[in-house]
Amino acid sequence: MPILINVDVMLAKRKMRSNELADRIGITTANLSILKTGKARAVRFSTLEAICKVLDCQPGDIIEYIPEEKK
Amino acid sequence: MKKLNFLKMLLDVFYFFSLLGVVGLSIFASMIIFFDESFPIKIKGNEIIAADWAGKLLIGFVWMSFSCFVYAIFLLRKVVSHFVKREIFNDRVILFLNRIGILLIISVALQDISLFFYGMFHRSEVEFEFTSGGFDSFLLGIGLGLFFMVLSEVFKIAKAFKEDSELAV
Repeated sequence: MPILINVDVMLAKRKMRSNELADRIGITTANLSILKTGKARAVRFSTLEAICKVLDCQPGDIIEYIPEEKK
Repeated sequence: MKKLNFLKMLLDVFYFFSLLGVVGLSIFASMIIFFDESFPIKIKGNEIIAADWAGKLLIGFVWMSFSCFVYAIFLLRKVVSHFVKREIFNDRVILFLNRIGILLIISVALQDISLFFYGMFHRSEVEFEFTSGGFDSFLLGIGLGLFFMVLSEVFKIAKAFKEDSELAV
């Protein structure tokens, strides 16, 4: 999929665990895992806002677009 | 859901009696086809002479048609039992709905087309009968079969929407 999710990178930078992030943004660890592994079909703005708030980052730090040809 | 449980019970009873009908029809059809028994038979208001090859062939097709119909009822029972378990947008439900549609179309076509050709070849008459409002109408039967096939496609789309919704974080 051309959209890459870099939540793991931000979690490492902020020295935070996945389950802590899931608790703080109000989603289940299963859903966060779906997001991290790139299986998510859609991300709600409310979830994106909550992630950026907790990790103190911009949406572009978490979501990256890689065109198909470059892969 | 009371309506669903009532439907399940209704289908179970209908299926049980239809199964008895299939068994009875199998014995009867075997007697007609393999022995030269001849007694008056009426299928959908048409008099059939069972002693000749055309009559035997027709009875064979009617038996196949009824068997297809009973198998469709069997699959419908399975669909309803999936609904009772709250398994709605399921691959098996989608497959069964499509099969029910195909079986209904085959059942109606086998019976009505064979009756039409029997009339044409055996009695040398061509007769078109369009009945409206009746449950044994050819057009309604084909329409119902197509409806189930369309319903299968709709359930397939709904399953995709459900998966998208579940994978929306």
